Amino acid sequence: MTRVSTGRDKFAQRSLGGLHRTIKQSKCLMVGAGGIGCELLKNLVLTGFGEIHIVDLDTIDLSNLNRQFLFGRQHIKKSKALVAKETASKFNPKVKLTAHHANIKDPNFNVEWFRSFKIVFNALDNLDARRHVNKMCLAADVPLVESGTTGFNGQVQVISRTVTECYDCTTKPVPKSFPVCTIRSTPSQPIHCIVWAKSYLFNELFGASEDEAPEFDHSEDTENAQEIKNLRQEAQELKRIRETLGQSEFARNIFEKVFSKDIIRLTDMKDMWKTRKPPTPLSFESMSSGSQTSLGSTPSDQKVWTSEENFLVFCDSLDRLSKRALDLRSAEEGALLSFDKDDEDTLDFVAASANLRSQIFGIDCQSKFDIKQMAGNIIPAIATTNAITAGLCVMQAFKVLKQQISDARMVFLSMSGDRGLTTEPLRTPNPSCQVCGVARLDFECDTSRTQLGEFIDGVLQGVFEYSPSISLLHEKLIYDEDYDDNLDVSFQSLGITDGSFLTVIDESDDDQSRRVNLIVQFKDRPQGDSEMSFVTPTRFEIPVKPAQPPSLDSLVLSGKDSSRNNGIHANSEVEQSRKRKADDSLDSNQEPSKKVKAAEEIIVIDDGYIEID
Amino acid sequence: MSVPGAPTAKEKKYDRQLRLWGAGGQEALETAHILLINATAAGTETLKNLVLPGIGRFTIVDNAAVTDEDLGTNFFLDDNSIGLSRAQKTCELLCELNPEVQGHFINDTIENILKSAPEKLKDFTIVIATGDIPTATLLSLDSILYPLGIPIFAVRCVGFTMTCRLALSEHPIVETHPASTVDLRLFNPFPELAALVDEKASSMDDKEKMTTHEHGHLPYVLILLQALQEWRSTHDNNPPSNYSQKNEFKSLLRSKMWNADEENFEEAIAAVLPHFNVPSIPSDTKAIFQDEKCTNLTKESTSFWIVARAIKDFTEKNDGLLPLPGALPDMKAESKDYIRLQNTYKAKARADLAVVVGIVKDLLVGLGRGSGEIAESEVETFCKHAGYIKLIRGRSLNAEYEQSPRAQVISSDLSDPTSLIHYYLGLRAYEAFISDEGNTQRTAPGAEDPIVDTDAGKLNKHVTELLDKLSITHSPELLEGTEKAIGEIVRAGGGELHNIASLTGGIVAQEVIKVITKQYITMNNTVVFDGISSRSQVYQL
Repeated sequence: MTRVSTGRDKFAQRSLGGLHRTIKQSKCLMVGAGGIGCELLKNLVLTGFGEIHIVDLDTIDLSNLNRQFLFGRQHIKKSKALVAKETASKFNPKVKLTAHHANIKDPNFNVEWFRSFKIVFNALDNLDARRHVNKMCLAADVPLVESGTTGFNGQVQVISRTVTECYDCTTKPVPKSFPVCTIRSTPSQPIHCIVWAKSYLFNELFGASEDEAPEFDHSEDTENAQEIKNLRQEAQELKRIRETLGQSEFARNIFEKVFSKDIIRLTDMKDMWKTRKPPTPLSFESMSSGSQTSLGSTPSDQKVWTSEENFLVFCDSLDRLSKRALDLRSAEEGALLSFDKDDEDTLDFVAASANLRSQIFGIDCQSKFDIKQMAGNIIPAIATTNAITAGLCVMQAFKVLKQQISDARMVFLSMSGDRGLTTEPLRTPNPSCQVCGVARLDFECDTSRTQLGEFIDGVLQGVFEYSPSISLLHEKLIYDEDYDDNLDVSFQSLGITDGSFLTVIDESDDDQSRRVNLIVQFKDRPQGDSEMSFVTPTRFEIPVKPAQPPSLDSLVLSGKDSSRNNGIHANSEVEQSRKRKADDSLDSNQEPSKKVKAAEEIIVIDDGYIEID
Repeated sequence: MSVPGAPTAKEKKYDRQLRLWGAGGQEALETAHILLINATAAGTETLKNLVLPGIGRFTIVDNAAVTDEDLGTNFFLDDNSIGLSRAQKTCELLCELNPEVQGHFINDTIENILKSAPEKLKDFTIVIATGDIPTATLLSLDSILYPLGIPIFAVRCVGFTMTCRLALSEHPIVETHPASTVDLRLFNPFPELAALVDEKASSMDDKEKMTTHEHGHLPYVLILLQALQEWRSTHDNNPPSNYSQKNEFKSLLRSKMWNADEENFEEAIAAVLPHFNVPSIPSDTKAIFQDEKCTNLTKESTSFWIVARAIKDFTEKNDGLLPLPGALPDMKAESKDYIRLQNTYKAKARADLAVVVGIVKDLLVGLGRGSGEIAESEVETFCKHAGYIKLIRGRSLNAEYEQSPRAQVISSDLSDPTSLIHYYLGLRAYEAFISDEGNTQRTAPGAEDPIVDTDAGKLNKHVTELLDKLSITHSPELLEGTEKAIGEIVRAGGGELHNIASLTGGIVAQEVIKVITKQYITMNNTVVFDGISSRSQVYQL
């Protein structure tokens, strides 16, 4: 059998030389088994990586099958990680594959676990998990190959602690959000009506309450206090209608509430409509007396529906959803429905409601196909881009494993016929990066016994001679000079356990001596009957912070945002969305101004930014 | 009641790609029949990337039996395949990827097919040639396929290196998917736009007639048009024509600001350089208008040429202006003003389209064809892209190798040791090595360990012969880069590396999709990739 294996590996050995042996002995981690993940796993298996761990939380959907070739129809709804492992293992029986159908943020995937890998590959589709793996790889000092694709564009980047910039060294696009008033009172674009239908109307009727929706930006609520109060009342009224779910008048009640009564209230606010056309309420009476009473033929999802079609789809989808909600509730008290772009009932309801609202405000209606893209944050995806990107990931991994990170490159892939690939040398770490421009301390203690105050006195001030001007963060602020409530609280009670991180920020005024952030990583070790509940660390020098103000955004490492982001960044769009946020205010003293996009040209590539086609 | 607008399972499966090439592109894919010559790793990966998005059919021609080495690089073969037909086994596994795609295989060499049944080749939409195919075979294929307008992708993937050569004859592209199709008509506003400027912006400098708020929310397009009127009145009715005049114009705009923070004026200033261009028909569009196929329509003319001709006639009657695409960029403005401005542009675009549609009908009737043969939607797509259309007339392999080689392209890059032209030359030498009449087994250079250096020497000799034939002067110094590339190529011993084969499959399939859908601009005509530096370059050879 030796002869057979030599045959199998012949060409890899030829081209890779000594590196081939290193690869066979390497244990690697692949986070994400989606579009890039399937290609990457195939590449890793055939290149002969000795051991591969696969982590993915997701299950397989029909719309994955146009590119995620390790999956077939028979695998729909099954775990991506497990099926990927199963399919890929057939093609190189010598590779050891381990699949985890789990969230990479689970606590058992701690720094020590990350440290067991020679290299980590990110094949993810969202910003939050990317930042998490970046942070873990920095903590474990394991090189990371980061990648992402959107349509024909792709990107590969090698991240190595202290050698290259990390994922968070550059600002990433923030998820798109809209001021509440723009969505609820003064929409001017189709997307505003779609967000209204999906995150307000649908949730108020069938799901969790609106306030939780990430699309809502509450930063300007105080400026618009009166209108916010009115809107809250409106939502309350809608909640009362929700109680009548299942009754025959349900559709009429909702329709008259949101498309008639609420609109009339808005038109009564004369100041708001001095310079623009007031909205036109719709009448259930007149719409239901149209020529059709039910949908005979199926309107296409590619074309824009007529007003009548919207009305009929609204009633019909509401009926379907009501029945489902009742069935669910009979099985489980308080069960909720949630919007899913691939759930036809929810998508029909959102499409029809959004279009009816657009009609009221004189905004262009959209086809269901386009609404699906905008409501579902759909990212175009194809096999070819993933194949090219995954191939480049492995090339970069070769450089990492050869200890030639200086030869590794940042590679960009674009669809243009004359350029294709562009490469750039990897950048050095951004000295003011809040994620990698830090000092690190491994701290061993009994988290159930050690109190925050002991740590501040005994370690931060005692060993590292911090001044009293410090603040401590663990997901949120847990201590600063003006907030000392937690001094007598144990770490465990603060949610800090084995593998947790704590960030120490030097808040002293002196630019010359202010130190970089210290990341404390906890090891929970019961210290027996010893008087001390922790092991006092040895002092080391913490470097002084470069003279640049820190960006608070990037401090929250395990942020709450669950935005999808496929790793392609456009910084100008970040600025634009901020500009828009500032512009889209509804100020009662001044006419609201708008920054408007040409409706038909909007493509929501992901939560992070909007691209003009 | 049936669920309204419910997409079919197929539409759901293809949802993510329909957003890139639409239903029209998908239909083109689903009627395509692809021929793959040799089920190499790169070839099979290419097919994988075409089977997944749902091409209609494929056929694999290959007479090889599966070896151990294949298993190490080709994902679509497993232990049970050893010794069996490579064409058959890869075909079977590829078909598993997508039940909608029909796969066929022919367990034979392409040389035999060229000899016995060359007419079979006419059935294919596109031919992808991979593996160790000798030059003579490639040129015979080209002689048959190029005149038929069937594109050939000649792909070579060795170790860390690959080249893909596309022999494409006439290939018109309407939907090039430009970043933007905005045409603001700043230098020649149509009457409705001019009227809107008068109404909204004529009191731009009058603090009596306009509030600060209104002034700060004038759409920048109207600001520019109003300021242009003023400029023209003092410049013989000419707009700013050169860089210094444009800067002068920017100062004029700045002087009209009432506050330092008027964002709309900043937008106007930023728009001066990109949007102040004398309207002209872009060179690609002009070349199409002047093409003999456009000026002399026949009964057989395709709809591309008829619509192109209609638009040409339109521009001649329209002061040399193309039909207005109608798109408007984002800008600071009151919603109602923005929507009105947008509607003004849209209405003009619709009016222009109606005229073009009329001309198309007349042309069709004049050619003795039905006036409804070309759908209005097709004309509309064309009008929106009129300034961005592209016609690629590629080059045959015979032109590159024999009839009119482009020595200049090679020689101009030769002195740059980092140029990828050295890999091109190295792989041409590789091809010469396997095409050598003495090499009956088509053994790859470097395949046998002991003779690596000898083979490298042979490849270097093939390069100098090629350069001599092309009358390109060379020296050992100039060829240092080539020698290095040859070292890499020979080291691979003719073998593929899976991740490079996979990447090749991605690049080639992407270009195949562009050609089949007639969307996006395809590379023309040779892409060279080097994995070690992760770079690619495109040459017109």
